Amino acid sequence: MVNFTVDEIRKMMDKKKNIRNMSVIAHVDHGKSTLTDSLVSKAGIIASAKAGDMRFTDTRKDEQDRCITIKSTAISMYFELGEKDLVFIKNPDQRDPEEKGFLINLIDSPGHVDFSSEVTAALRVTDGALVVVDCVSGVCVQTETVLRQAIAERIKPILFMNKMDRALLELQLESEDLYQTFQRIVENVNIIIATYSDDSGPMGEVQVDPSKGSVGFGSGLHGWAFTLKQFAEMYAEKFKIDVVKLMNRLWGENFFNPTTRKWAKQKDDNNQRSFCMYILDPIYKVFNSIMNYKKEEATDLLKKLGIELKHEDQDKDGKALLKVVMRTWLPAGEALLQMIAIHLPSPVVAQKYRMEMLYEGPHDDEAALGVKNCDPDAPLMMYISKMVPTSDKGRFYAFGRVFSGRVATGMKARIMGPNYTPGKKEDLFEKAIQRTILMMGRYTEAIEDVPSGNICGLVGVDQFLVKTGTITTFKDAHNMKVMKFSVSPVVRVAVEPKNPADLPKLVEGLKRLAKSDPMVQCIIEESGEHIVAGAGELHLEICLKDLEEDHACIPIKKSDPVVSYRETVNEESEIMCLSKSPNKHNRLFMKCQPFPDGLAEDIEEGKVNPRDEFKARARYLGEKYEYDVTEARKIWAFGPDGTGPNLLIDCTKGVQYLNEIKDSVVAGFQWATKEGVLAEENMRAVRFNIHDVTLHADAIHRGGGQIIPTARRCMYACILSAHPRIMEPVYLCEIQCPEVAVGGIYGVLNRRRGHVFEESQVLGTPMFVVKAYLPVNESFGFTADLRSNTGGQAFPQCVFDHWQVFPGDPCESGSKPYVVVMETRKRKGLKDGLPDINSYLDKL
Amino acid sequence: MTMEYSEEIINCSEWIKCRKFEKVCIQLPDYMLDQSVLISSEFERLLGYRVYILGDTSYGSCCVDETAAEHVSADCIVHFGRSCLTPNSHLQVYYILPKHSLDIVKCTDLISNTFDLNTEPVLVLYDVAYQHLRDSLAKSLVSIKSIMLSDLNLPGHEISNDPDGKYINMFGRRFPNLNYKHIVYIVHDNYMNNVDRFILEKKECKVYIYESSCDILTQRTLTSVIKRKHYIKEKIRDSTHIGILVCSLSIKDLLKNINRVKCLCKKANKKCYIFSVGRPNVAKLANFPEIEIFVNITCAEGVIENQKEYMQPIVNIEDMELALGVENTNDLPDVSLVTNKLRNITMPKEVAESSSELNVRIDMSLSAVTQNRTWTGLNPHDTRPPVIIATEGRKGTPSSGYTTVDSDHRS
Repeated sequence: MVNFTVDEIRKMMDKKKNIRNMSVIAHVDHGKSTLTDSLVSKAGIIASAKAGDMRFTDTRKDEQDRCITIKSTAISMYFELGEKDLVFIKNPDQRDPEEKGFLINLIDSPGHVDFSSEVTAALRVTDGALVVVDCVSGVCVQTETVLRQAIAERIKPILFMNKMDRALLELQLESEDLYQTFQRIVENVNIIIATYSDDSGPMGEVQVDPSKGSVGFGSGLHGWAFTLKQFAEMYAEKFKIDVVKLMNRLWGENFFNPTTRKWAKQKDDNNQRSFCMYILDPIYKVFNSIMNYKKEEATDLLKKLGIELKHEDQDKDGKALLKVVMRTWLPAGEALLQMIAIHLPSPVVAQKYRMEMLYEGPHDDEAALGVKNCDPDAPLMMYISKMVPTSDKGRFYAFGRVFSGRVATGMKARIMGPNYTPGKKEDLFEKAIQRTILMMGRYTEAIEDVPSGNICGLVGVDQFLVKTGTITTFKDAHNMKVMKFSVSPVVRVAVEPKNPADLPKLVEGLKRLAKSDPMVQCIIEESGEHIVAGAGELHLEICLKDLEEDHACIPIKKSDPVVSYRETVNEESEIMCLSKSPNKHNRLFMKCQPFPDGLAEDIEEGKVNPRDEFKARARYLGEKYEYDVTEARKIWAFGPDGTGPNLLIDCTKGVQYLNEIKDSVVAGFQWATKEGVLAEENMRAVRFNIHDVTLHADAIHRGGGQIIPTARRCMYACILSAHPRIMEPVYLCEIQCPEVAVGGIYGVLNRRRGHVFEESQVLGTPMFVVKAYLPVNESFGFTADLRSNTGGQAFPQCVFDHWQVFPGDPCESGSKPYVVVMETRKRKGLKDGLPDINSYLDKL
Repeated sequence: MTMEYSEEIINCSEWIKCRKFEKVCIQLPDYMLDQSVLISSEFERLLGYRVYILGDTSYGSCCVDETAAEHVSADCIVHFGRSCLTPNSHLQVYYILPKHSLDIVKCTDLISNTFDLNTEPVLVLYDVAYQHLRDSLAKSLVSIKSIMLSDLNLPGHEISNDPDGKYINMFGRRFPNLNYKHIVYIVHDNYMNNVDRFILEKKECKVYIYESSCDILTQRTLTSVIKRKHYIKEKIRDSTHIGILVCSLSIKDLLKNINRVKCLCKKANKKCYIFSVGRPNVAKLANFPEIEIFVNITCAEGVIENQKEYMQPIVNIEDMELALGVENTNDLPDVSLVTNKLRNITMPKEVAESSSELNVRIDMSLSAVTQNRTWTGLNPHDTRPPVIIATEGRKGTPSSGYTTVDSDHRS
C-alpha cells in the first residue's frame, strides 16, 4: 500500500503520460478480484486500517457474501518502475522523462455474463485491459465476449494466466503439457483478437505475446506471478545475452541442449524446450520439494534462488510455506504492475486512436482535438459511464472519464444525455458541478479538479442523467458515443408493492433503479404493470434486491420471470392484401415477406441503418441479400421507432401523389411494427412491400386520417396472410463440467428445448465444455436444475445470442406458440382469441 | 307505441304551455327515430304549433343537443331516451326517460337480505330506465335504515337549499353525503358507463351490480382499468403536445373544464390544442399524428369505444388532474417509466432567474414536429432563384447608351 495525500495524487494526475487506465476482465471465477487484491495490497493508494481486507474491490455486502463481483469498482494505484525497466518503454508518449512513478487506475469488473453491461461501462473509461484466464479451464465464453468488446472499443489487451497453482497441485500437469496449455490459450486469445482487429490497425500491435512480455503467468490466490521478463533478467547475467533477446528464446520452439550448450529450433532427444527448462523446471522443483516436505532440498533450492524467508515464515511448511516462498521469489504485484506500465497505453497514446470511436461530432472540432490530444487546456469533455449509489438514498455519483480539459468542483458545465442533438435543447442541462471526487473502492475523497486522462466521480449531476451522458464546457460539442452492450434485457418480471398504498414509493424506486444500473429497463406497460427487465435471472435478482432494499425501501411482490417475444412471418403473403380507407376512396395494396437471414442483425448492429446513403445501402442489400437494387433504394422507413429491424419498401411504379402519403404510411408502419397483430409485441425481420396505391384525387380525402389507420390494417392483413410466427430470445449457454456429468447436461437441455451444438474436452484437463442454444423462456431455474442433475458439477453461463422462431404455428389453437400468444394477450388485457384477417382485409 | 309515452307527452305539453315556450325541439335517439312522426304529431296536437325533431345528434344521444336546437333558436328541448343527466348550459330541458320493468320484490329482497346486518351505509343507485319505479323501490327498501336510495338529478327536482352539503350530486345522481362502503347499482341491459364512473370515483367502495335478468348481486371491479391509469399517467407526463377533444358542446362546465386542462398544460410546460371534430372516430383523430394525448371533454357517460384502434391514448380530465395536478415541488427532471429517458416537467425557471441574458425560448409548437414531415405541400422544390438584396444595375437611356457598373461591384 502506498500512502499518498490527495495533493500528491493530484500532482500525478497532471503527468498524463504516466497514467494507465485499465480494466480487469475475465470469465466468472477466473480470479479477477483475487488478482486485483494482490495488486492493491502492493500499490493501492490510500492505506488505511482496512488494508488487507479480502476482495477489496467488492464493495457491496452481497458481493462479499456470494464471492462474486456485481458492480465494477475503480481503484487507484501508484507504482515506480526501476531504471532498468524504464528502457522497455520506448514510446515517448508513454512516459514523462522526469518521472518514474505511474498512476494506475484499475477497474475490477464482474465476470458473470449477467453483468456484462458493467464490463462495457468499465471498458469505456479505460484504455487497456488485463484479460485474466484460468489456465485450467482456458478461454471461456465470457472471456471471448469481453475481449471482443474490448477490441471493438480499441482497448489494448494484455493476458494473465491465472491459477497456475491448480495446474500444478491438482492436475499435476507435466511441464510440456503445461506449456502446451499456455500456448493454446495464447493462441485462442490471439485468434479472437485477430478476428476483430489486426496489428496494422490504428492501435498498432494488439496481439499478446509471451516473448514480448505482454503475457503473465502465476497465481492470484497465492500472490505470485511472472512474465518472461522476470526470468530473462535472472538468466541474462548467466547467458550474457540481452534481456530482450533472451525473452524471445524463452518462448516458442526454442530448445536448448545443456550438454552441447546449443540452441535449436526443433525438439530432439537431447535438448529441452527452453520455457520448460528455465522457467517451469525451477517452479516445479520448488513445488515438489515443499509439497513433498523435502526440507533439505527446499532449503537448498531457496538458497540457490536467493530467497530469504522472514523469521516467522521459516517454521511453515506445505502449502503455507509454498505460498510464502513463491510470493517472495516472484511477487505478483511487481510483475503485473511492470506489465501494465510497459505494455498498456497511456491516455495520450490511446486517445489518439480512440477519439474517432468515442466522439460523434466532426473529427476536427475543438472537442475532438481536445480528446485526440488529451489536452487538459482544451474544453472539457467527460463521459459518464455509470452511476454509483451514494450513502444518500436516491442520489448517485456520476462516474466517468475526463477525455479532454479538466473538470473542477463548482464549475458550470453542459450535461448532455444520449438524446441530445447539437443546437437543440432536448436532454441538455447547464448546471454547476457540486463536487469532484476520487473514487477508490469503498472510499471517496474530495478533489479540487481532475485533468484529462483521469477517471473520477461527480456529485450533483446525477439528477440530470439516466445511466450515461456527456459533460462538456464546449457549446458546440456533440455527444460522446453511447456504449453498445453485448447483452440485452430479455428477461422480465412484473413487480408490485405488497401494500398497494406504497405504489408511489415503488415508482420512485424504479426510477432510481433505471438510473443506477447500466442496462436494466424499468418500464410501465400499457396494461399498467411495472416491469423490470434485465439480462438474466441473476441480474434481475440483484436489481430487485436493490430495488427493495435501497431504492424503494418497501416490500415487493414479483411475478415469475417472463420473456418478451417478437412477431414475424415465415413466408411471403399468400395474397395481395388490399385495405380501403374509412372513406373507401383510397386503396393500399401490400405484401410482406420475411427477411433473409442476417439482415435483422445487420440492422441492429447498425451495418444497415436509416442514416446510410441510400445508394450505398441499396448496393449492400443487393450484394449481400440479393435485394432488387432499385427497390432497395426506395426504403421508406425502418421500424419500430424509426430504427428497428423491419423495412417498408416502395415497390410501386408510377403512382400519382404517392409521396404525399409517404408520411402517413410510415406512421402506420411504425405503429404496426411497434404493436404487432398477434399479441402487440414488436415485429421483427419483416419486409413490407407497397405494390400499388390508388388515391382520391382530392388531397383532403387522402390525408393522414384516411391513410394511417389503413396502412396499419393493411400491414396486419399482410402478416396474417404470410404465416405469422412468434420469435423468442435464445441464450448461448456454455457449461463446464467433468466428463461424468455430460450425460446429465443433455437430459436437462433436452427437457428444456435446448440443443447442443458443440462439445469438446478442454485439452490437458478432464473438463468438458458443452455449448448449447437454450430458449430464454426455458432457462428459468436452469442453473439449479443442472446442478441437481450433475451433482453440482456443472455450471452454466448463459448470454443472449439471437432471436429464433418459436417452432409451431401460433394460429393453430393448442400449439405452444398459440398458448404464448394467448397468455400475452391476456396479460395485456387484449381481446380473447386470435385476430381475424377479414377485419383487416377489404374486397376490391 | 306512442301510448307508452302519451302520459309524459301530455305532462310535458303542460310544462311547455305554462312556461309559454314557442319553439320546441324534440330530441330523439337513433332507435326512436321511427316514432318521430307519431311523437311530434302528438305534441303538435296538444300544443297547437309545429315542433322540431332533432335526429342524428352531433355527439352522444345521451347529451342534450343544444347546438342543433339553436339553429332554430328553440326555447326548450324535450329529450327522449337514455340520458346522462349532465347539466347543460342554458336551454330548458324536459327529460322523457325510457321505462323498463323490474321485479321490485325480487330485487329489494336480495338487496335487503345481503345488507341486512350491515351497519355501514349502503348506497343504491339505479339506471335511468327505472326512474318510474323509484317510489316503489323506496317503499320496499325503507325498512332497512342503512340503505340509502339515490335520486336522479332531474331539472325541476333540484333541492334548492342545501347549505350544509347534506347531499352530493354526482354523474346525474343525488344522494345523502355519507361515508358509504358499499354501492349497489341496479343496471339495465348491461349498460355500465355510468357504473364505471362511480367505481373509479369511489375507489373505497365495493360496487355490486344487480342485473334484473340474472337476479344476483355481482361485485364489479375495474382493476385492469385502474392499473392502466398508471400507464396513462406516465404517458401524459411524457407528452408535449396535448389535444383537447371537445366531445359535447352543451355541458355546463365545458369552458371551465377546457380552461382547467389548458391551465394544467401550461403549468406543466405542455402545448395544447383544442379540437372540435364532432363525434370522434379513428379517421378524424389520425389526421393529427403529432398530438400525443387527446383529452376527452365530455358528459358523465361519454366513453369512446374501441380505444385500441386509435393512434393516441384518449384520456379524460380526471387522468389529467392525476398526472399533472400535483404540484411538482422541485423542478428537477424526472425519469419516464415509458421511455426510461429524462423528461422535464416544469419550465426551466432557474435559467431565467439567474442570468440577465436573453435566452431563446424552447420552441414547443407543433411546427417543430411537423418539420420532420417529408411532404410539405405542393411545389416543395421552389425552383425560382433565391431572393437577394437589390444591387445597382445599368444606368442610362436608350439613346445615349448604357453604362455598366463594374462587374465586381455588382457581384
